[in-house]
Amino acid sequence: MRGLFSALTLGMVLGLAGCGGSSTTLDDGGANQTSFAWWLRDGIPLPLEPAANPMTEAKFQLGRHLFYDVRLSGNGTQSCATCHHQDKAFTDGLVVAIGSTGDQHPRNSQTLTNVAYNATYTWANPALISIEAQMQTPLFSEHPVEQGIDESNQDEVLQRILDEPLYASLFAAAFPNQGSPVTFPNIIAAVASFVRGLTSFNSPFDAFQLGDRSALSASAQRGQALFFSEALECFHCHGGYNFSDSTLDRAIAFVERPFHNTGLYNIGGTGAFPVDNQGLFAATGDPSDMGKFRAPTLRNIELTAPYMHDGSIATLADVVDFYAAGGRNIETGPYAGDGRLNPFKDSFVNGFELTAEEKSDLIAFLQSLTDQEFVTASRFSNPWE
Amino acid sequence: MNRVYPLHSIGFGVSLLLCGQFAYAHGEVETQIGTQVSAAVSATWRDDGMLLQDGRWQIPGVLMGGEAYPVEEGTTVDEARISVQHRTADGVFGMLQVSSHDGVSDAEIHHAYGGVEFDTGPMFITVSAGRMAAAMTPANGEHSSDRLFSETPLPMDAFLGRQLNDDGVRLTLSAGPFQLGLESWQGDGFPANGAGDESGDVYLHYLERWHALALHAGMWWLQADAEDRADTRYTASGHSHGSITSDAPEYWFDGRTEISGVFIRLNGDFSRNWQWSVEAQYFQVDIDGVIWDNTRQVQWIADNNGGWLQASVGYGDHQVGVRWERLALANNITGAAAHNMAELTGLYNLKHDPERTGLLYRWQLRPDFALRFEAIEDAIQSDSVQRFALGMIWSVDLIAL
Repeated sequence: MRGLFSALTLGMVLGLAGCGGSSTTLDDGGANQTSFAWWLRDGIPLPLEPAANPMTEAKFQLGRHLFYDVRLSGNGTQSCATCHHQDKAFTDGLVVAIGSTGDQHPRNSQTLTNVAYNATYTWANPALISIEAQMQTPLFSEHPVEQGIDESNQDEVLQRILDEPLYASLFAAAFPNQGSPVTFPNIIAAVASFVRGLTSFNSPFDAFQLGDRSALSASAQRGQALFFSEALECFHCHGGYNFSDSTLDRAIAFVERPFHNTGLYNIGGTGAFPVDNQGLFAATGDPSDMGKFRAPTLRNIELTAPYMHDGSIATLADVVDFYAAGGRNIETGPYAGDGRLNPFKDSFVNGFELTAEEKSDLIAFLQSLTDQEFVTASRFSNPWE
Repeated sequence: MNRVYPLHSIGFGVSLLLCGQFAYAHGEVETQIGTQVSAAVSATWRDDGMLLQDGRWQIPGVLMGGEAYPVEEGTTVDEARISVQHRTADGVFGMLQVSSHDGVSDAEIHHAYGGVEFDTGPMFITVSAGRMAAAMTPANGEHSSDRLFSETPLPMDAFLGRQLNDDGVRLTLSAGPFQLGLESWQGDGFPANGAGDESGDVYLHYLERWHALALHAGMWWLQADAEDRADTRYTASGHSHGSITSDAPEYWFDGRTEISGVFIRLNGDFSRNWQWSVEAQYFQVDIDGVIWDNTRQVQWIADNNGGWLQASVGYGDHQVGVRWERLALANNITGAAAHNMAELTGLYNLKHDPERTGLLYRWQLRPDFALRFEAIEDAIQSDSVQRFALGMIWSVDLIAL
């Protein structure tokens, strides 16, 4: 028996000494294969590409020219870039957008930062799940008019595109083997490709994530801890690599398309929002969806003032105060009501207390999400200048 | 009145105690009839702690969980416990133990169980029920004050979340040197995960003594099913921040873990004052399941193994020892989120075999008090670190009636 156990001991010794070969085999089924230069950092998954409109550099470049071209509007005065300035992270700095004919849009122009990762598009439409579908609105909407293309001017708009010599080669490269590629479906596919390629993952926060401990100031690091704390709850709606809980990429198996009421209004104490801006309720008719909007990415948030879906909060500091108060109390006027008591308000918007230093730290962290390369890169800039 | 530790000299018996080579670990009721109250404290100063990643201890390639906490720089109480046990002449026994571990946990009821033993002639049949440590390997029932080294063996941390301690039932059949054990657990303990996720194990041990040579060897097999198992080590309530920068990434495991193990412990003496001991333990771990977070899911199949070798030599009150531990972790992750989830969970191990080697000197100042000095070469991460530790162990029988 002792011999048996001696052999067992020896066997374990040799077995343990010989064991080895740790390995990690990863099979993503091709989810990380792409022929497009996405400008992503390590750790960021690839966004989805529509099967009907796969990303190509030629479409991206054509789309870039169209995005900045005012000829792509009914009266030839407004381009996509009119409401989406690169230096403002593709917002316009206005409270609400103004269309090509002067119509005032009820909502603030959203950033195009990382829209490829949006689970839904616009502020509160759960059915709008592709950039291509969303583009129908700015190009063709009538209430309000944005770029103002309609049946009366669409041929003229296309002719303007056809008359630009540069477009011939761009369209041919983007849509080869098509006899007459200058069509609105192709224009939409190209602009969507450019917008989809507007990725921003090169902020100081990203550098910090990649190991550069000096990328964030001590104040920003303290602000980061506050941001991800249960006390402030920010990360619940603005978490993940894109700082939005409404995020979609190739690796996602369970798609969530959440919307949130942050207590911005509570007209008459009924929970109501202004009639032209009632959020998800306008799409679903469900009273509990009143005032719910998609949580936008906080990347480049420093550059996208004013804030909220209606641009009704001017500065980041005011936004922090708003969430610290757990909503907004409007004491007079047609929108009077205590948003803090809105019955449909998200449970994470409970208010919190911050010292002046902590508030400064939190804002410093939000400012660390600014990607200067994104707002200056020639790849995303106006090719007509 | 019965003495729990009839140690009349610091010799062979001391070496048994110090080496942790008893067939019964601290969580098992002693065979003496009567009531005993015992206590133990182990505290250690370390000049450095384990290498952490984002503030967490992550063995690369392991889905961490349970109570696998790292050792830290400075002085920590590795373990403090007090136990009350009672056994009647009819073979009825029970144990209550309150303890804290790892310098981070509040005191908790670690063991609370009772049982009965029947002598059927050809064999002893023992039935135990309650909260207790699994007995498939004696290493599972040991803590810092029981072990030669202060740190938990690496495979225990990696594959059992430090220790499988759960509510359950144990049936043992003992005949001669052989003991067959069957254990069924409620499934609250890692690698299972509560809510009806049951686990169980079976083991066959061989305990024999030839003159001054004592042997404890065995083989075992454990199966544990988990659903929604999270790594809750750094989250008090099991809820954490779902963010890439939070202290504890949020993900869950659903699936089955099967562990096979063999071990052997031998100790003896060269002469009246010279003793020796050797131990070898080997784990083979198969895991098949899915890992998911709020939006992603991947299939995970693991073929892991690990173990440790330990030896010591003692002369009088002095003892030196060595322990070498190693893991080999082969993970296969499938799904669109394979890369992201591998990084999020720490399963991406860059072909590194985690290892740790320790040297020890122990001085038994009194029968109930010892000092130990440890030098550790920690290559659990791809970057290795050396640390030194100086600790004390106080272990005493307070009452024996």
